Amino acid sequence: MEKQPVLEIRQLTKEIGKKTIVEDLSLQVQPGEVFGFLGPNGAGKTTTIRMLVGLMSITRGKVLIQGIDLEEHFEKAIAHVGAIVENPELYPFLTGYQNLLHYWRMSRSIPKDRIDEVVQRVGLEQRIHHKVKTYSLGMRQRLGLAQALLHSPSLLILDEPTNGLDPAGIRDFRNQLRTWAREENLSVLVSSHLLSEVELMCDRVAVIQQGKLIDVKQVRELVDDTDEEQTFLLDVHPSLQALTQLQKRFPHREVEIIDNRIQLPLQRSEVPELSAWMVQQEIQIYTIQPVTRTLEDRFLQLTGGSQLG
Amino acid sequence: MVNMVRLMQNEHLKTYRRPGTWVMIGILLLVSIAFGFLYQMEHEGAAGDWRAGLEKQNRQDEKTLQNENLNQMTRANVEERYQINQYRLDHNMPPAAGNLWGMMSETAALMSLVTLFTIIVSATSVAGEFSQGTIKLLLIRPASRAKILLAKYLSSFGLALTLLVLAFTFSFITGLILFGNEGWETPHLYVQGGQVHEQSMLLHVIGLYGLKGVDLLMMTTFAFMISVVFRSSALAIGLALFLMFTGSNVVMMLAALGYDWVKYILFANTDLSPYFSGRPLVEGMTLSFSVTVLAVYFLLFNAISWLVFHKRDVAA
Ligand SMILES: Nc1ncnc2c1ncn2[C@@H]1O[C@H](COP(=O)(O)OP(=O)(O)OP(=O)(O)O)[C@@H](O)[C@H]1O
Ligand SMILES: [Mg+2]
Repeated sequence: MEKQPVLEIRQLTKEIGKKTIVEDLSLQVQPGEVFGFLGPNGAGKTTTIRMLVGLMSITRGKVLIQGIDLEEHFEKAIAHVGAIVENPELYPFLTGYQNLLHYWRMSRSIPKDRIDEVVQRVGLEQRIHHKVKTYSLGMRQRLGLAQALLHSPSLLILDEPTNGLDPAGIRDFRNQLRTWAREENLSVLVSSHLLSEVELMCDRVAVIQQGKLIDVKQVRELVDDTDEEQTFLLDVHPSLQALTQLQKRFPHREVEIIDNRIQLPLQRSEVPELSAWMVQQEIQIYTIQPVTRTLEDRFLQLTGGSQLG
Repeated sequence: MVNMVRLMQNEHLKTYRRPGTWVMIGILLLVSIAFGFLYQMEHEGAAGDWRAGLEKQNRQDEKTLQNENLNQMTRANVEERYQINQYRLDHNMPPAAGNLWGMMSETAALMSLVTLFTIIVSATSVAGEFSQGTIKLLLIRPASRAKILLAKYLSSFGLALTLLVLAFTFSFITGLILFGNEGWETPHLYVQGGQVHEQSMLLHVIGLYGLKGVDLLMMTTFAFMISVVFRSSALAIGLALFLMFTGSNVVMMLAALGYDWVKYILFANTDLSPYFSGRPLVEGMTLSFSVTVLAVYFLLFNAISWLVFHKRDVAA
């Protein structure tokens, strides 16, 4: 039997006035999965997330969390969810701890020690008794995560969580998210328009555009999708000699030399053969490297290269 | 399923961690004390012989009452005053002027300040969540919106009660220090059915505060509704105060012009004191009529707040 999805969205639609912002969106998030929710600006990610946490009413469709209908049994369903919607806005005139105490009081049957536990988890012990208005953005993000994890939810919903974090912060966050997902047995739904982000964080990703689901794929599948031709960089010696030989071998391809490296289009499956051949030709190989075909390329391709933020 | 008491604890936490709350409490205490001193200054030297004063007043009133053209309202008021003064002279009961009770009857005006502060706190408690964006994290918890709103509403009155008790206690203590307990035993006198009745002064003063509580309840509920509907505390505070200070005057003007429908306006009913001493605004208005009108407005304001808050898409 298949496991019950933690989150199931069925034909979710949101209309505001005459405008359809989210249309017929269906997807499932499985236990323990980190699920990416990818789309350009204005695609409807935030709107969808607002519906998932009950901040916006649902025009049509259903949201089931752990099999519980969100609209019918809001309090029961939402108890399984921890979330940050856009920026984590907390009470600036309270300390971090008081903020958590406030949310702790709004959760059910969670021991009070759990507050200290999550504070430790997000690494905010030093500053937890300071007022939130003295926090840096990174600290606020951490506190935001602490409040989302506080009631040990089974589904974590994060809307562009790395917004405003510096590269080190983003890397920390990414690593931690994975750890938490494992240790707290969490499923995560994370929205982003930072494609490289999703690529590094998620198991599966849904791509939406103009409120419609375009595709759901395994990240790996999305990245090195089968055996399409892509550009490889070869760091070889002697390079000029290699260039002529390669141009002879692939007369119909564009083989170039840029910055002392050879650039040529190849299929992945051709790489082992090519390297064996070069060894035979007594060309010294330092690296053979694909110019990473990122999710971004795929994404642009899927969304027809539409404007990105 | 989250317990109401905990939600109210949260509101309490937020209210008392705002610096503004303490500024308000400070102002209230200062004003309560200052009020006592002002009252003392006003009544200094005015003590004199109270009997002589009352007798003089009564001689004047007798003359006034002989005037055939006197309008009915004034006649009734003068007659009442005359009756009470006579009762004081007969029973040797000096009026409560320049003593603790006299002062306490006046400090009931502090209730306007309590109302003002309660309006500010209740309007901020909803609109503030929207303007700070904290409403999002507040509503994604296992507590229904109705409960969250109720917790906010009730805690506003919790604060009102605290402010009220503080104002009362502080002016009482100031009064005791300034005037001692002279006249402690003197009862409050009022006329009902042509007879003079006695009432404990403490109860009378509490009653004065209590009657002003109607304004507090209605205007706070109104401000709360505006802040829910428009998510703006400034608008809610401004509108509530404007109506509170102009409402009763406008209503009195309309009543004087003889418009009968004025009795259905909220502000024609917020002051219940005429039903205990004095005449109603419009002939034929009764206490139960006013209470009914108040109840209708009260339910209407709360229903609007609840409906709007319940349905609202939070997209801030
Ligand atoms: N309250 C509203 N009324 C009308 N239109 C709205 C409302 N809220 C959002 N929209 C529109 O819905 C669309 C989707 O907005 P949404 O915020 O969900 O996008 P998003 O995918 O989160 O974008 P971003 O990456 O910029 O955060 C936008 O075109 C926006 O203008
Ligand atoms: Mg968004």
